[in-house]
Amino acid sequence: MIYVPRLILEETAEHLRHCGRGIHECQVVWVGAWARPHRVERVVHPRHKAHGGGFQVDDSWLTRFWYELSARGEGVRVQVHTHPAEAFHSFTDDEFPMVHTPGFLSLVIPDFGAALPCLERAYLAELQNDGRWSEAKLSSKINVEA
Amino acid sequence: MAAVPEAVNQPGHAPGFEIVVSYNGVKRDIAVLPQETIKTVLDRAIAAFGNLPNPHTLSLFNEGGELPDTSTVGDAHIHPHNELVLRPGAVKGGAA
Repeated sequence: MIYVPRLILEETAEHLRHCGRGIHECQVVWVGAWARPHRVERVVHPRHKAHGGGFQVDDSWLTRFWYELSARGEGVRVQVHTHPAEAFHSFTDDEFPMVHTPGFLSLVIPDFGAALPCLERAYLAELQNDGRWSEAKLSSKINVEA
Repeated sequence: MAAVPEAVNQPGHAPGFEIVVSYNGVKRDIAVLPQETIKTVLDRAIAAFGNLPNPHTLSLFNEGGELPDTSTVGDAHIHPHNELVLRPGAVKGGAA
């Protein structure tokens, strides 16, 4: 179980809606210290290019971020991104995640995040040992704390 | 601490040394030889992180960018205790 403070969810909503403006997809990642592996402690909004049906994280930004995580003893726990309508894990989502470790979570938010912080129609995928993604029950993997 | 390959002590080979590879904020010491290719080091790094699925999508980077698979450790100017990052070549997503 990953514990996510409600403030993190609210900050996530702000990034996804402000950056995406209801017309572009957007991604944030939830990060926490490896000393507390089940807790999300901050939201990171990657530098990226986006359009109505996708996004790509900036290559040099990602390298700097990877060094930053190493220096801070932190790791990405969950990647979160929007879709324009229905939430699901697309072929691109399957093939190009930020983290490839089995058990990694990918949360897809519908309607460019319009309903956030409500996660009722969100889709959660979990990376399996064989490299494939499976749908996971959100309430069994992510606990949003007041 | 990673074991230094046996080739380190064989005549005709430059001595090996250790570097650090980090993946998602976790660091591992990796033993390398100057004449080894980056691909060999990449395979060793992926194994050190538990044989990550879809290894073909991962590469080694330093501050200057991606290290070509065919370069050697020496050609890439990698020195003892340098830190490389193991990360996906591209991160993207979307409904389309």
